[in-house]
Amino acid sequence: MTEVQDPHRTETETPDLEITLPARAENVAVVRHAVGGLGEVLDVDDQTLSDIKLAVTEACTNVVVHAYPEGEGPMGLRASIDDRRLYLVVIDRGRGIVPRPDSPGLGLGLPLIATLAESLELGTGRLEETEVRMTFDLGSPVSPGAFA
Amino acid sequence: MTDQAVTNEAVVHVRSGPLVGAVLGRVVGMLAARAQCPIDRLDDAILLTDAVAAHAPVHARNSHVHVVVAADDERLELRVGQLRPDGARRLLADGDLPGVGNVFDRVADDVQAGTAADGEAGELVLRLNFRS
Repeated sequence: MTEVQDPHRTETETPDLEITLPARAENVAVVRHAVGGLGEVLDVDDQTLSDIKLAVTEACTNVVVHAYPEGEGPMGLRASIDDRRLYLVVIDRGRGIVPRPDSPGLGLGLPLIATLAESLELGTGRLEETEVRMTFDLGSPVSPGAFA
Repeated sequence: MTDQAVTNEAVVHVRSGPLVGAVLGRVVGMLAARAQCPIDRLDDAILLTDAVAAHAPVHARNSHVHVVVAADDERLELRVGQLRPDGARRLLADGDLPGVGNVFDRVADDVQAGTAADGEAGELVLRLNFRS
């Protein structure tokens, strides 16, 4: 797994997009679909967008499966764009990323995200949220008018 | 299957511009579909969303549009918040279409232009019932 200190973490302090939903399986698809809209506006090529959606899906699935063993809580996505990089952070307020011997999954989610993203960082937010921070290289600079 | 209505709610905070329509439309569409919204009402929901996306940015308090989307078995609610103090009324007025009337009033079952709980920001609430 690639773990790097993201020098652009401040880019997510005022995100271009922020979505918060209950951490339910059905809402993973909602986030994935919203990321599709983001990719459409940014005119991201199909392969890159497919990688981004898969990584976000994996990160959100981890939240649904692991974050709240005692019940339900929030799941969030923050997205920021800077020139030709997309910064995505998947957030939860669960128990944090801890080893889980009884995990129902194969444990391939984070390694897969690390492969798909340019960088991956696991951390804690200002309010003690669990954050999975991903950076994606969009290949070409985003036009200044894409967001405004 | 349960008789109890389970509400699904998404809080969307998005920078004004093309992202608003692209993201908000998808979120509303997904939540409405998950709530078993009839197809004609799904069409109405997207119509309302497009109107919000087109007009809300100019009435937002800052550079972002803030919408809470809630759906259950009975209805869909769009709560467009963080507007300027008079932004809700102005956003509602922007829905006027010549020869058609106000798109918000005509499509939504309940429209409330007022102030958010903080007493300062404007808030436009649109409710769409799935069944008449």
